Amino acid sequence: MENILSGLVRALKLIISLDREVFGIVLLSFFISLTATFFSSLFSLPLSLLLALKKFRGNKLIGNILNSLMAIPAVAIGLLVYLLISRRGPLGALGLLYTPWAMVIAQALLATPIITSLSLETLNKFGPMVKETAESLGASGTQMVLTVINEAKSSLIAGLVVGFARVIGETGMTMMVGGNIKGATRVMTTAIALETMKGNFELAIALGIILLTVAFVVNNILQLFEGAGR
Amino acid sequence: MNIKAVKICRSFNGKEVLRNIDIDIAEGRINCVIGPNGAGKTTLFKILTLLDKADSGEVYFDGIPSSRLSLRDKLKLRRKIGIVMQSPLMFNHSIWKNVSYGLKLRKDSNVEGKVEKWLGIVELNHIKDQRAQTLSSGEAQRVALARSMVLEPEVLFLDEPMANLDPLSTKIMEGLIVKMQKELNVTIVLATHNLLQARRFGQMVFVLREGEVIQQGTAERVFRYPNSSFAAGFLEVGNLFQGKVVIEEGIQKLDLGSIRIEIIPRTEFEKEEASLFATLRPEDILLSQEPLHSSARNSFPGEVVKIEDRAGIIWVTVEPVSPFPNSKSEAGSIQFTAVITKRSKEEMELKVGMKVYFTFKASAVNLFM
Repeated sequence: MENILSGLVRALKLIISLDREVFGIVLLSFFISLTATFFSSLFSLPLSLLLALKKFRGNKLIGNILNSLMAIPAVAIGLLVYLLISRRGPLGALGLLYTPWAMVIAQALLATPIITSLSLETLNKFGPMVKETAESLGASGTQMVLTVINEAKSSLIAGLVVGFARVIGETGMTMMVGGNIKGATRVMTTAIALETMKGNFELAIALGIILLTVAFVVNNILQLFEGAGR
Repeated sequence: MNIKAVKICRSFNGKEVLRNIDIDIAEGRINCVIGPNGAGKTTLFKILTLLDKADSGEVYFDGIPSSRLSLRDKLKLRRKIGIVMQSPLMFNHSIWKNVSYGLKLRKDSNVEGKVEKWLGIVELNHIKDQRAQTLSSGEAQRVALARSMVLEPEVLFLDEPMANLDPLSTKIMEGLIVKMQKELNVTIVLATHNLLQARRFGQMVFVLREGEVIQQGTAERVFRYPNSSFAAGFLEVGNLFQGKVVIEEGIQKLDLGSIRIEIIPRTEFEKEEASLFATLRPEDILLSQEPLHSSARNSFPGEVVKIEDRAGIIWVTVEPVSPFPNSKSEAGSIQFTAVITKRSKEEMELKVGMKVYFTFKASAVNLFM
């Protein structure tokens, strides 16, 4: 108990004093996960819009596959990315293994089915109605899509937030492709795992508190968007 | 703009929703599409407004087939047509923004003036900044109407716009529709299952049943002369009978079982025992206490079996009391329904069980196979 209490006190001191190592890790975590969410959204949002607004053969099948991919274990994605970018892999020449970009790729892959499925669920609910209403009022194709995005923006942002929360909290996969290299690829989750194993609780607790705060803030943002959405 | 559909078919998941629809919308008039729920009215409207595509068939706009139009031309055309759905979707913005939406898409130069004008017409100017999604269904319908009408369409499709409205909101909407048609000469296409509404201001009527237009024509003609037992039943003609043609002393009559009624002779019915349906509007039947000596070819004694007061109009059901023992028809006892005023009822001192005479002209009997 004393261990935990003294660890907590020292952790708070680290946070309050804006410890360079702690905040370096925090900033890197945010950079990697935000970038991964951004790249994922570039693919997920257009795909969910396409699936919701354009009915074609195989439409439902793609939706079902995406839903199933939501349950894929993160380590499986880690393994896949590792095999692809390892020195002997097809993308080995790019030298991505154990770099933040390897982590971005893995996290983006993990976030994509989540963001697509959540966006699709929202867009399926009222996207066709918005589309029909916009078109009946004379919207062109582009104007219709922009109207649908505008009407669904709260729910779409909520989907992005969930995707971000999922990837920023990921440990095993991130460690597999990032390598947990101090000052280069060490993020909050991998640092907590490592420092705990080393018995260095103050840094682990400090990062744990920040990660919890992130979860708390994300949850509140989500509720805010859910309130604003339909 | 003239809109004409030829042989339109549409299926969803193997279920045929529209079958060989031929429809010609009368320009500058109120066209009513009537039919029970699930008849295919909404699907038809979506195809006629280019929101959906038919599996086969063609929709012509001023004679130009829609399948030959480019995307750009289709957009131009869509911008001349308005549609208000049964439960219109309100954008998650203020009423003002909802009404101005279409004008902004068109980069109209007088958005403010037009929106104000139409919000005034639908009497919602005082709540223009309210979120549209907080409105009652009646108010939302009015916003949807203003949202479409502000775009000055040549044709306006209204898909059961009054289905969920209270009587006051219905009255307001009906007034607006008639006003738009008269003052702005907009072609109105109104889907409804409210027959009173269709009779009241429908100039052209299309009866839709299970994806088929089974009758179309002027409201007067369709309501007076339904051409099928379904149309007759749905249009609530009042009296629908089935009988066989008999020739009695050289005169064509319809044997209804209890009585034989004289009909307008037609060559196609010359073959005796042709099975026919007959409709007779309640307002075409005269009731009297004594036999009537008039030009009407049908007059029978009967007994009053039911008297109903429906909103001030008296519906009297009479059963003929002089059965023909030789009747070849297997139909059971039949009843005739007549409508009279309250005053007539009082003057005749009508009561259930009373003997009366009911009289109608042979020409009032509408026949179909």
